[in-house]
Amino acid sequence: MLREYGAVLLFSVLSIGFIFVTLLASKIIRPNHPNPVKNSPYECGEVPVGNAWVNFNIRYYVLALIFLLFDVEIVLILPVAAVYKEWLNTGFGLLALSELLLFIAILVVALIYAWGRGDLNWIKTYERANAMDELKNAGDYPLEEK
Amino acid sequence: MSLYHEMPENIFVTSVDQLLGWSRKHSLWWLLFGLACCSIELMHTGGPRADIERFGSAPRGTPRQADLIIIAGTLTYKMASRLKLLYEQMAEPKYVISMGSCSNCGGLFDKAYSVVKGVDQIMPVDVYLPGCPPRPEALLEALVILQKKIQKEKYLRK
Amino acid sequence: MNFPAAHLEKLAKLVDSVYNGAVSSEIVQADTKIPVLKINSRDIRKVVELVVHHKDLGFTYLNTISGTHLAETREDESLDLKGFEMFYVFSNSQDFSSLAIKTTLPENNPEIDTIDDFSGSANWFEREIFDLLGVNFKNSQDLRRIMLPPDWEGHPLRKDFKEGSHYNGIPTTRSSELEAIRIE
Repeated sequence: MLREYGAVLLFSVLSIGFIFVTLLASKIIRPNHPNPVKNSPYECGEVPVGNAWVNFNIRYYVLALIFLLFDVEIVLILPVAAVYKEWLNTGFGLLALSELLLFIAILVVALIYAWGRGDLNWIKTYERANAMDELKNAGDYPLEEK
Repeated sequence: MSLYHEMPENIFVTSVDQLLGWSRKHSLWWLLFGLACCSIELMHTGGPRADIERFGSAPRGTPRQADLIIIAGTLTYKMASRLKLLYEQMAEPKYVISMGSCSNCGGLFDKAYSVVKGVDQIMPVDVYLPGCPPRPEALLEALVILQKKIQKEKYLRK
Repeated sequence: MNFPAAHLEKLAKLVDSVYNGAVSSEIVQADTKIPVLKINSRDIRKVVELVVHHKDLGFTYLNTISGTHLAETREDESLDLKGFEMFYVFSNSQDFSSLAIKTTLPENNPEIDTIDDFSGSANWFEREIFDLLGVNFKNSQDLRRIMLPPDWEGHPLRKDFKEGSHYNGIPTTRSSELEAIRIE
């Protein structure tokens, strides 16, 4: 069994070594003449105006959060299916399946909530924005200062 | 730490230079730079019948990844500053093919007020390709001539 | 479609009657596809307003504004500069007839009123004529060079235009000829 680990070690040494050797050979051979014009950002030949760094869209945060939740759900489902496979033989397979389905159902409720709130759209719809405005005008919006 | 143009002339370095020349000439990536009618012939050269990619030349959209620029078309004074900036943004070692009469010497528009009379007034040119426009096979011959030039080039030697 | 000669005379009479003789016009070519009406350059706005907005005429589409520099070469090879000539070509989008209005401008300091507010496309035509001929359009919204680079000096389509020797460091003439070398 130690033999397999040895094979993995050899494989990793060779692959990392391959990368190092080729990059080192490139570094030795290539010319290196940087100058400010060469390092300026590429803008199809025009002189660049402004900064190349732009603000990240804040919607990525919400997207990443929702993705994380459902990714953890998948990560938890897969081992359950692998480990409790043996229960099929003892007749308790349906119990395992129903527990798994219950877990998924709880998270589906969360999905429906996020979907209904409009968090799965990249742009929150204009109807929701208008609804807020209407509430504000009617005086029903609780957080507005009178 | 670079050995570019640093090594003495001996049999080992010359052989390595030949190997490097062989490998460099068979993967000349060119920058898409079509200005006028010659760019149509450039597009045909990238097409299936006269295929430039079988020489290892893939078209690139950015000068950072390219080491050959094929100037196809008429260069005007307004465009000249942009072309100069593009040429400066390419990394060494870089090569220039001037395709067509307009970029060789001003061509048909030699007497015009707004045309640069030849691209070699802005940048050094390796291969001049005459024609109006040159056929795709002519551009391939220019590429082959450039490849012969690269094979004989002193890369590691001084 | 031909704009019959009778219509052109009616147009001239209309111009006369609307402006009570203050605007003088002259029919130059009556029996071609695009008949030409010659007017004085200071009346251009009045005539264009009539041509565009009058209910019987309705030439609402400005096809082009084109100009040229008139010059003759004397016997001793020098140039006799005679001023600028400009054509405004209008079209009717209902019956596809066209009309051209011709004016002449003096050689020194050529100026004419702009017709920016009658047609949206007039601005670019006027910019082109300013760029290449140097005609100044008074009260224009936006008069700057459109085709040549903004730091270009001179107006190239004038007959007495001479190029400088360099532009931003690039020479404008080619000194060396290209010779063929054989590559082995």
